[in-house]
Amino acid sequence: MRGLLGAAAVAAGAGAAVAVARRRTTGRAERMDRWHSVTIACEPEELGPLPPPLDSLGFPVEVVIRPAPGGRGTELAARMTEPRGRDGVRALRKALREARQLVEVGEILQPDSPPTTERTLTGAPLAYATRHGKEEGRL
Amino acid sequence: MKALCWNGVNDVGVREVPDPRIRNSGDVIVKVRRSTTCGSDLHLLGGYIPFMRKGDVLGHEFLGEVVEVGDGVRNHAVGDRVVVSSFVSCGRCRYCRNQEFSLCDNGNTNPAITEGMWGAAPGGCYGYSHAMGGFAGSHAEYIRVPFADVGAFTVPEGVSDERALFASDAAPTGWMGADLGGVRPGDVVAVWGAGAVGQMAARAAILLGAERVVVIDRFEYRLAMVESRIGAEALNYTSTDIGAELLERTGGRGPDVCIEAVGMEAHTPGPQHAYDMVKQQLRLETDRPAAVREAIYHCRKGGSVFVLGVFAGFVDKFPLGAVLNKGLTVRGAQMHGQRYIPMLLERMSRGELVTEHLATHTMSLDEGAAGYRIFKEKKDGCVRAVFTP
Ligand SMILES: NC(=O)c1ccc[n+]([C@@H]2O[C@H](COP(=O)([O-])OP(=O)(O)OC[C@H]3O[C@@H](n4cnc5c(N)ncnc54)[C@H](O)[C@@H]3O)[C@@H](O)[C@H]2O)c1
Ligand SMILES: [Zn+2]
Ligand SMILES: [Zn+2]
Repeated sequence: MRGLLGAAAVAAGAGAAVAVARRRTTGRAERMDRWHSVTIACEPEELGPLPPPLDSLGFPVEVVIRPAPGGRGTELAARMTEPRGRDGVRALRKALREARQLVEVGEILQPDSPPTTERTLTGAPLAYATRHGKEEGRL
Repeated sequence: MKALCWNGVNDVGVREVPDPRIRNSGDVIVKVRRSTTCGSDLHLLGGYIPFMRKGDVLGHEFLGEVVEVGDGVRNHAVGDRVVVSSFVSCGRCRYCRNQEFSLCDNGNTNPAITEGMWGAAPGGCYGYSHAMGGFAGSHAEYIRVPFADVGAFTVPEGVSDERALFASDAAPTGWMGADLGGVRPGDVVAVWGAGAVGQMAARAAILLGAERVVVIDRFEYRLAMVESRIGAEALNYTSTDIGAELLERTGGRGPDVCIEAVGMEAHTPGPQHAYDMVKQQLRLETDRPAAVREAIYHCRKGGSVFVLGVFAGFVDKFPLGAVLNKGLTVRGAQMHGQRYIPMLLERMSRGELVTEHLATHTMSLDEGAAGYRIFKEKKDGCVRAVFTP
């Protein structure tokens, strides 16, 4: 069902951006204590116990670092240890993406600025989606 | 600076926008000398990829001169003449290390949108909507190029701007279709679409040793180019029976490799077209896959189909039965430009790969709207309208 909604959303235009960006949850409530992970192209030893920016989330997280199978790099998994709601999940997802980028690239890729776009009513949902472009999705 | 921007569905125009700035240490700023329209842009203009905002700068295939470098850039200096891969890729992640640059983990600042749509996010692309990172495009006087050591390539002296421009995207896209489609010496290869991408795929197949290469389209002026400039055979699907022709040319087997270079706005003669148009307009199907269906149908048993045309969402009447029962391999990708560009520039300098005929129209940015119109409507013998900002 969510898959179909996704399909309709893609087609429905810019207003769909937010819905599309939102994590699919197959109808069940999102579990706030779920592990979120990224795989990083590095050896486990290259990561400290709490790779930045996971160390500056402002709330505690549990972290597991382990080699990915078959030479696929290193898995970095994290989850909240106290309830922080959706905002916590969003912050965690963004921090994981940035942790990977900091290890692999050394800095966070910035969007173009100043932007060339104009604020419009129809563009507002998409602007919202890009403001939260690293917080939703499927990590 | 001046830039050609998306203002709304089927509405482009020149606007004054802020100059780009260095934002990361690996960035360079390029003064654009040439920037070409691409079939991919048509999908954006038509509103089929609904992630554009008013004022987004279009264009992703370009060449220019480096005018500013970030302090982490090693391979480029001010004054370098560079051609830039249309995909923004970090060069460090697992995908980049595997040479699958368009799958980069670190090239898109908004990965959530495409993760939601497709299950995982590809890398970023210039001028290709906020789903692909929201990077400003190249139909402008200047453009910011992130990860310049990975994505910008110095053009050898003997290669003209006109030729090297197409190393940005059309040529590597075509090459990838033939390469990852598995073209080998002795193969018969069929290519759907005689645009720049289809022509480059056909040329790649020839250079990879294919025995025969046949390109299918309905525009005679493009098919004539296929014969005279690319050295491949041409078939017009509106005036001949493609299936019968392909069987005749392959001893009844069918082509070994079928490359689709048409994309989501495919045209078909007959009732299938009306079906797809209506479903697409009602948004019951986001993409029209006529050429993909054809490629799968005509491919030989055990053969390979490579989808180069851009698709954004969902298609109808996908011939899964043929895929399964004929044991086909179906594959697709956005182009891994960085993997092929140095080799392509070398071939360009040796004269093996000629591209300048693709730029049928060269115009200023101010003529951008007109350029897109003739390109979209395939008027006046247009293959690609190229802008010189
Ligand atoms: N995979 C990638 O990285 C990548 C890169 C660049 C372009 N593309 C895609 O490649 C496709 C072609 O790009 P282009 O710039 O050559 O576009 P184009 O519009 O110039 O060419 C498309 C051609 O396909 C022909 N065509 C339409 N329906 C057909 C059918 N049923 N059978 C055979 N031919 C048919 C058209 O007549 C036209 O000549 C587009 O979808 C574009 O988005 C993909
Ligand atoms: Zn392109
Ligand atoms: Zn990468």
